[in-house]
Amino acid sequence: MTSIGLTPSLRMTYASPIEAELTRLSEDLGHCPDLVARYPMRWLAIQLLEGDALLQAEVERLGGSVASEALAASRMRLETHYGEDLDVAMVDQRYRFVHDLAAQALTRPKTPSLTMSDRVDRIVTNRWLGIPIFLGLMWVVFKLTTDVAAPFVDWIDAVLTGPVSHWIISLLSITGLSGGWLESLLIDGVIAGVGGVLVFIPVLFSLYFALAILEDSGYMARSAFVMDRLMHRLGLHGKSFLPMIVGFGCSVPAIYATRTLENERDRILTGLLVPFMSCSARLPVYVLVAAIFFPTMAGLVIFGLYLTGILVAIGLGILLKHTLFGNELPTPFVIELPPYRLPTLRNIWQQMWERTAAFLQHAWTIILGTSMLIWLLLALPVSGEGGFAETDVDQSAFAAVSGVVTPVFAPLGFGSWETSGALLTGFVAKEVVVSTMIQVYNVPGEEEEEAVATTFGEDLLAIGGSFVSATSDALKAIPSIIGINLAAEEDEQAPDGLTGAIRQGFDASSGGHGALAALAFLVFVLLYTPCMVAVAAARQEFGSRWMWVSIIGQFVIAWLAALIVFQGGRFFL
Amino acid sequence: MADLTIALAGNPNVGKSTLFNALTGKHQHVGNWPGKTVAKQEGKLIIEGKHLTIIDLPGTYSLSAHSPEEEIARNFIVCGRPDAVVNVLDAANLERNLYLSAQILETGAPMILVLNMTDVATARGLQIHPEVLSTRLGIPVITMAASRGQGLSELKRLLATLARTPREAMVGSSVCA
Amino acid sequence: MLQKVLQALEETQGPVSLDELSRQLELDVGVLEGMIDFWVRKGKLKDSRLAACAGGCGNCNPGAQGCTFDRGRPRSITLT
Ligand SMILES: Nc1nc2c(ncn2[C@@H]2O[C@H](COP(=O)(O)OP(=O)(O)OP(=O)(O)O)[C@@H](O)[C@H]2O)c(=O)[nH]1
Ligand SMILES: [Mg+2]
Repeated sequence: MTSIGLTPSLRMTYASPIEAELTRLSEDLGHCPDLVARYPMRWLAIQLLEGDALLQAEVERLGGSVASEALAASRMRLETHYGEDLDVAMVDQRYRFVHDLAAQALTRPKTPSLTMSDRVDRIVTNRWLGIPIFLGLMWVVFKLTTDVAAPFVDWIDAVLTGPVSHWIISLLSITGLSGGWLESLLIDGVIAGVGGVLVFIPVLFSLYFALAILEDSGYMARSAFVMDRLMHRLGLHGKSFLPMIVGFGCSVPAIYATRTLENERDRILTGLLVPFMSCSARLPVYVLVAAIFFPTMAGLVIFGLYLTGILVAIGLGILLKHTLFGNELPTPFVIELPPYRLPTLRNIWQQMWERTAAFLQHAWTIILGTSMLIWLLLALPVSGEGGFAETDVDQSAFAAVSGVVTPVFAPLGFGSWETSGALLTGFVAKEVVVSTMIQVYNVPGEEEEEAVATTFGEDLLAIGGSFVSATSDALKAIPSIIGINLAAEEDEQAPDGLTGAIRQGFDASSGGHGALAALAFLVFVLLYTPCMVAVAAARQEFGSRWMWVSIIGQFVIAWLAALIVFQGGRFFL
Repeated sequence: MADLTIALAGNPNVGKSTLFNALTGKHQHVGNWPGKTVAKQEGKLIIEGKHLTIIDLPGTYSLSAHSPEEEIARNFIVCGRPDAVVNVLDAANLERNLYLSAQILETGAPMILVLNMTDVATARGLQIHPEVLSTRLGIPVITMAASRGQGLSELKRLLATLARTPREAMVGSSVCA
Repeated sequence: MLQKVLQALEETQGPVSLDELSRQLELDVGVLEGMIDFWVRKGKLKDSRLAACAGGCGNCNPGAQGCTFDRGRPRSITLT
């Protein structure tokens, strides 16, 4: 063969009214040499009828009014056949043409071969297995975040309260500023407050690690699918769980994510429920309190809290759907379940880092600000003898302010000014609950046994050494996630100052039921307003009225739930 | 001076750049996600003493130019007047890919179909009948697995034949605005 | 063929995955995606990936630490 034909012999034919106009239009446009020089006429006519704005502008520019009038006339004539949907008709006919072509050129297997993803999905999105698998994975996530992160938490804590504090004190003494209010601000305010939150970075890091794996592997989409199917069966229509998945990370983007819901009522309803998904900023509070009161089953407690959040959201959703929000028509939706794949280290690292960085940014702004404010309020005496920065915390302005709301929490078992104060500041952000607690329970006096003077180098060596042992502890903790306990149970250390103070505080306010009160406290933290930014987001998205409904509703639900936990528990114990 | 200009066009992520690299010996960015090639790339291929310019175009799902990359591809196919458009298709996703082919057919441009990724299609149990496409459309159809080098020599032979064929004079080589 | 996609969505009960829908309509997933894109451009369907906050994360997130968390949200398509 010496010559080959590349010019197609088949071209697709549109329905006859369209074909007639195509012929007519390409003839009309063919009178304009500028267009002929540039474009194949039939193709141009097709694109114009399909409504290509770019080409229409070109035709107006090059062909002038004659061309555009010809186009308008063709469109007008076709409107009687197709109304507004000429483009739909043309694209549809092209799809049919292609479908026929493919049907001839392709033999599909009788029974389509199942891909790996399909097989996994049969199990993971199974009607009955889907939810238990979701819960099981959640359980692993919280074991991971608590057990594996714990040694690193201790390590950062030791570094901050040990060497770093010493360095600051030494630095102050060199500059001749030691012993005064500045030292108190830096040590009791900044280190205790911001440091108290930074200590939990490893916990967040492991949570973000787990979330990144779930997202990157493709499982997260399945969990949303499975949960949404459940919600649908429970009468909650709409893709409400999609924003909620985001809520495990942070409530704020979750509130904005409700924008993708079509129906205004679904949007508001989901916006009201999203804050009950436990956001990552609440995790440090859980870890701190659970480690003190439930050291052997912290993971279980935290898992229970997350589950409680989901259940409250679903229960409340059903309740609202049957009352305030009437029975809306369901919003059907399609969800993309991406094929499963091995998460890449690069992606995981990037996500962990970005999210942790977002959290750190928060630490430097909001947490630093509130820590300093609380330090100021704690340093201001309102009664008693002490002067500024020397007062007994019980006699501080902060105690006085917090004391006002204390009665509200008394029936819940945590009616002390310390916890009330922590919850009050918690309206700003949940991390602040931790920093406030550490500041208010920061028992002064019992100065740590005057540290043996160490050099900077020795300090660094010690930090490095303890990091290595923290890493090995963390590795030993991994098997325990699946139930094997390699690490010999460490002999419980005598409660240090903070642990003892918190335990005493809860015991005192609950008449001896400290653990129960602590649990009620955690439930309260889980359910009340996540943070100021979330409130602002809710106002922006749903208006002030719904913002108030949300704040008050969350408070009432949190209060009731904590009451049930504390009073109910006391009744049974 | 190039004897022939050949454009590689097709949906995103079907292996256009893989084929381009195999033909020209260049190192265009190849990777397993759509939208890597964002600008038109040129390379040279010499077959039997004839100089061919190969153009790698950004991937596009249609000629309706919904994005700047799609506009680049469309402008070249429609107004660049290549001597042949080599339409690369993902054989494992034939029907979707043929939508663009149907639109290229409408331009009346000289065309070669390359059904790439036949290894994937076979693994999925799909049986492709290139001869059916070839007779129905009246253009050459080549099966290929570009990443394994399969089907390359066939395409080169076809291009050689094309280069030997005397070309009809082009009606002015214009470019769209 | 195009209309079938909209119809199927209107009639569906609860969430469906893209794969389920493609089996139900006897269309390749790729073809279905193409049709969905068409309807999204026509404004009949809404794709969460292209919606306000999803992709750009531009002005919808004042002072939030949030944008990075939003990336975990799966893509979904709804009728408008
Ligand atoms: N299994 C298989 N993979 C292939 C084949 N050809 C290319 N690939 C792979 O497909 C992926 C996409 O290839 P590219 O050449 O980058 O695709 P492209 O069409 O240039 O993509 P865009 O420029 O993004 O539109 C790469 O990972 C290639 O290695 C093939 O025949 N079989
Ligand atoms: Mg490319």
